[in-house]
Amino acid sequence: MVDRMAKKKYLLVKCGQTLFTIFIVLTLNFFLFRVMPGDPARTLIHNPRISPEIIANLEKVFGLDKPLYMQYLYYLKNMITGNMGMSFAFRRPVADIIADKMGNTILLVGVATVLSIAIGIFIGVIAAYKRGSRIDIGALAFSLFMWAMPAFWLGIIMVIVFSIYFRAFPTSGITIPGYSHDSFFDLAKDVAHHMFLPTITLALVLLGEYFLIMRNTLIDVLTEDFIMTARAKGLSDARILQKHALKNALLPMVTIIAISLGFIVAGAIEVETVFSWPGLGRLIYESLRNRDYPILEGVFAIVSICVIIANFASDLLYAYIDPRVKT
Amino acid sequence: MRKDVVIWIFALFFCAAFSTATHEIRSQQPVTLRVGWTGEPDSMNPFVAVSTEYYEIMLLTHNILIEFGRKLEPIPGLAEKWESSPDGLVWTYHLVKNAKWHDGQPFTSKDVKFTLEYVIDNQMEMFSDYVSHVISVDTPDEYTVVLTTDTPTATMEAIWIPILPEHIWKNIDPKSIQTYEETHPIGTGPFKFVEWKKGEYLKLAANDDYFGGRPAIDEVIFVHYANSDVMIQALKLGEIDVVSTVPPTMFEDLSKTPNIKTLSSPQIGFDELGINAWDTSLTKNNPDLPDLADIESQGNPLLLDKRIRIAMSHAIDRQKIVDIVLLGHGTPGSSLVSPGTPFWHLDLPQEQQYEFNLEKARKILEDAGYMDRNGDGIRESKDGKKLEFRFYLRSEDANSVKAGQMIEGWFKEIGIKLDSEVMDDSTLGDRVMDNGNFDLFIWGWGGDPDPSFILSVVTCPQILSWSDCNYCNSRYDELFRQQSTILDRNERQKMIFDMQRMFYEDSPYIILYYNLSLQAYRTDKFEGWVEDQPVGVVMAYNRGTYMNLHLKGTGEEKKTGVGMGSVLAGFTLLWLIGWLRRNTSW
Repeated sequence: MVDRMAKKKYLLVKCGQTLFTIFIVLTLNFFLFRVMPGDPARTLIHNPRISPEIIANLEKVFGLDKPLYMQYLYYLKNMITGNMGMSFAFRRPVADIIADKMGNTILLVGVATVLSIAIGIFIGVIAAYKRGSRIDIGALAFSLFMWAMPAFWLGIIMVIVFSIYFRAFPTSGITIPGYSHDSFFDLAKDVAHHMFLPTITLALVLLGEYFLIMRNTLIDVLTEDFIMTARAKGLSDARILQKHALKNALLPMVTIIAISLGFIVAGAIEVETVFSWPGLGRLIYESLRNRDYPILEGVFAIVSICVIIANFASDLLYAYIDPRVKT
Repeated sequence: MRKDVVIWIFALFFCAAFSTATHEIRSQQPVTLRVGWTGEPDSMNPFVAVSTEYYEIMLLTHNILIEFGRKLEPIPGLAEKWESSPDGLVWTYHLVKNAKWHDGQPFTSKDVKFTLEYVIDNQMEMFSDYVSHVISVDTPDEYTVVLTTDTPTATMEAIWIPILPEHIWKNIDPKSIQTYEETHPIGTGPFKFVEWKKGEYLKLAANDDYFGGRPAIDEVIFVHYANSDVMIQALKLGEIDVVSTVPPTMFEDLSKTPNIKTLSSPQIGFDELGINAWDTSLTKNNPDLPDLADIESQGNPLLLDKRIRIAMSHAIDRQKIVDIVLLGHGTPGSSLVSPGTPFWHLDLPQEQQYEFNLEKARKILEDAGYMDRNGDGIRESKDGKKLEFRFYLRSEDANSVKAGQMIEGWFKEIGIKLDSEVMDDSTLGDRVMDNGNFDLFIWGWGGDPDPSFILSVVTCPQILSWSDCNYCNSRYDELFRQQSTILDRNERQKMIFDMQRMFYEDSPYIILYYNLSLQAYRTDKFEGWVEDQPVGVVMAYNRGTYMNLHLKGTGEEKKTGVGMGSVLAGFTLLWLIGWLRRNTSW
């Protein structure tokens, strides 16, 4: 009973903290773009000789005619209702533009992240279990090498090897330009064909992080006393690994995986650029160049909310998987 | 007898199947030109879009009254003939009679009237300048438009406004035009808009009913690449047929690749070192410039001394900047109108240019009384003011930063110190154009086929507007007004030459280089690329390549070729069957 009360309290506190963090991030997000030098109206109006009525009308459309605190209140209201305003550069609702790109990004970065987590953990466990062996040293060198690799460079090498030399995959894009697909299956095949190289590139670059953390925490756990005890009890190596070591070593992984999943929506600027993948990473980069504040505000808000929620989820998960977290 | 009938029916059926089969092959595999580019249109709304990519699409989907030929000369567009009254005030345009909108509606003079009035009445950005002197638009009949101007206007053959369909645009409120999203533009041009997947590609299809004749290719797809290295590889692989901009670093290698032709062509525009030459004694209390009556310049007043600006001009090795920064793909700069528009470009003889000569630069400064009196390597004026200036460079253009570093070095040698600061374009625009709070900067201009715009930029009324050197010279302004009313091209050219000479001598701009446009295309699939024009085979202010291009070896007979082939094959087959029937016991 006490236990359940404590859990409930823990949940409430975490909820409150999460909401408060979201509020702070949204506020920062608003003011961050207002303190940057340069007049946002400048990017809106290409002709300096335009009549004052048109400028006034434009400022009204984009809400720039109101005092700052009113703009802030409107912004908060819009964020709650999901209306993120109008893009300066595209003159379309921000929510529509982000929605266009979000699916592509989740597809690419999501698959690559899940792939790299799975492979990273798998190799990490093997390497930790056989620490000091040739497999361990080889995997360690490989993942450090990949982790240090600039993603755009690896991407270009992939294009040269697989697109130009072997002619196995297209250089870029998400589908064959201008081709109308007969069926969903046809479309899926085309997307998969285009997705292969960017996904592998991204997964290779991300792999190192998961591998290293998995390997090192598992090695730490394997040297603890309770493992020795388990071994003394005569348990088999496989059983020790499964029942005792992995369970403990996975705890830090949960946090990292949760945050990584939250960051999926932020896209991967470098890989998206090399492979001309129409995702959110490229949208962020181009909007920054165009000073498209409404889009940047929208994307930053979504990304930070996703990361905060992912973090919240990992906290909750902790309460269940880690018996030490009670209050 | 029955056997005969069966054979004949069989033969006819075979014949029909053969011809539909060939037809199907043709319709399944349209002849598609794929253009690779690293940019993208910013919008499909003509009143909002400003990017060159949009203008390329507009050129293919829409028409203007009078278009540009390969030498940027006026050629018929929607107006097949035009003439002006002797006093130059009334212009009559005779329109083509067989033009149709992409949705099938006929095109008439009402559409022209509607479009021009839409622009004039609502002061549409970018376009309103072309018709600022037009006081009335009349349509005496369905195929004639008469424009009346308040003064003779030199640019009535270059009204660069796409003509829009009245039946669609009359429903679009001009007040909310800034947020209007055009999803499916309808024009009269040789290609119809099909679809635009932002960040991926934009597709156009040939317009069968085009009044100037259907293009030989069936589709154009503009493929967007976020990375130019990958785009070049895609050209090598044949994923695309032509690339609109080749990075200078890859040009050399590409020119040695088989089946690929590279070309470099003059571009309209330049990059310049701008100097804040705002002499407020000319703009304050000037009845013609009421907006500037009480505004002070925030630039360093030393720069008002023409001798310093000329010494700076002597201290810049433009050829070296071209060789190092542009890897040789450029032309050293001089006069205000670029050689991309050769008719209007003043080709200053070498001896009239401020040649690179550091000794001469030092001497000019010394003669003007700027000496290094305290031995710190920086010259001072007689009243002790240092020749030290703020120097703004663009973070968005690596070339400007590289050129800036070279210039800083040369200026140091003649005793002028520059404090460089790299900033993004919005900040630069804010400082330079909106507040005049700068000394020196490097930026550039693109341009129109007509020189009016670039000449207007440096007139007095443009200070704190388009002008970024705040130059003010009443003689220059007077010439600008005059040339805009001269209808004779040669006479107008003379005046424009005078203006360029005057501007060059005063040096508020030191034009560093004229860019060359680098393009590349594949030679193994298509022929008929049009090269002899500014910019290159595409993005060239005219649609020559798109109209002229056809599959290699097919020539013009391609369309009838398939039909004739199947008829011929059918007859051969019939003859063969007949022969077999006669000569066997069948």
